[in-house]
Amino acid sequence: MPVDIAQTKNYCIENVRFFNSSNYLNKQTGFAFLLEESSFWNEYIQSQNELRATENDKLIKLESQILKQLDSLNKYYEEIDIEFFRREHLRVSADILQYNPDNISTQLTYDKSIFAIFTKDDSVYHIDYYLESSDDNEDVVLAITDKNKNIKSFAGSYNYIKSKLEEIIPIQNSNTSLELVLNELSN
Amino acid sequence: MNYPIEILPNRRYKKIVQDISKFCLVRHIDGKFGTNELIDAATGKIKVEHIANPREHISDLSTSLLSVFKIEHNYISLTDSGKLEYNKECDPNEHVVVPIYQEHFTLNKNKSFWFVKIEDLFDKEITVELDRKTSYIVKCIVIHTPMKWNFWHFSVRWIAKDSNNNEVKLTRAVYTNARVMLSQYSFIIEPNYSVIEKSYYCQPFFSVTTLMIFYSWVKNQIKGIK
Repeated sequence: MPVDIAQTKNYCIENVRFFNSSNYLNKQTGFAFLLEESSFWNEYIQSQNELRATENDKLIKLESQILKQLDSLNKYYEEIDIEFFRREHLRVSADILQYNPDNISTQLTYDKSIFAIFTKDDSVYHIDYYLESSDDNEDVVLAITDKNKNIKSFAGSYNYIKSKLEEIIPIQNSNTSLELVLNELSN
Repeated sequence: MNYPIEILPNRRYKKIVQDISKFCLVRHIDGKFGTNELIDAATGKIKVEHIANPREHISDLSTSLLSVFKIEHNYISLTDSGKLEYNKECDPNEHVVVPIYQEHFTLNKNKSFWFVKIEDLFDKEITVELDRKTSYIVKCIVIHTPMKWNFWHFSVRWIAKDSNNNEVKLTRAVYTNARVMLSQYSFIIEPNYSVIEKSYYCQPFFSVTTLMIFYSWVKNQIKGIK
């Protein structure tokens, strides 16, 4: 059965609050609760695993495509360390997948940058991640085109671009939601 | 094989400054590529590696105005000596000796093309917020830059307006937005050709100077008779 992540998160947080309250054990028999919780957790973990598997498939596909392109444009990327390249590519792709994009593609440019495009709700997001930075921070440019073809653009460090993206598209996907839930649990 | 003289500069030609926003520009890509290789399957847009090439930078792209210049004119490939002689900007009315096949040019049909409507790029501005601090306007300009081999040569350029800031970050923001605009608006299906009015690129037959010369000649003739 497909699990709604947002609903699951709320359910989980509610339960944790309830469980933490001192009156809890007086209201429920511990055994029934454990059974219920255990089936809930199994379902939750299974859905998380499914999501991760899908994300992994996407990441593997994106990486194999870009490595193929890197091979053909090798002479323009000679100075870039391959492990560094893979790490940065994975960083950008994995972060984009958190926004549940409708489509995603990553390409290389002749300016030693990873040009990632993803679409989400009638807008197209372009992230140009320059692999050689001009100062201590990364050089990243974000350009967003909406359905009326208007373009908004931001340039700066990767964290700045991420914060801009998060202002525009709230993260809906697995990892961060899980982190939130776990944080709540530990509180 | 004769060189298509209709694409060479001509004594009667002038720079095109009129509104040609409805026209399309064409740019060739080295190599014959299928649609699958040109278009990114996920986004349906031209892959960025095909928009510019390492020889020519995305901030100043060479294109040709489709009208008198046809797609097949892109097959013209200048030889090394042809490049020395013809691959330079010139006045629109410069007298150019017709290039010779094999010596100055050959044909290379191993090319693909993309197109863009001038109206989608011309004078388009994008505001870029740089490092939370400042905003710059990146602007696209399309200008007629006749070359000795091709009067119909146009340059698509990108500039950061009102900025003396040559900082790398800003330059990169210009490149990225150029890439975004071009990937957004370019297409690979051959468009319909528009016919360009002769008055856009031809000087009037009787220019003011010609008329003045003619007038002084007539005056001298009359003086002579008297």
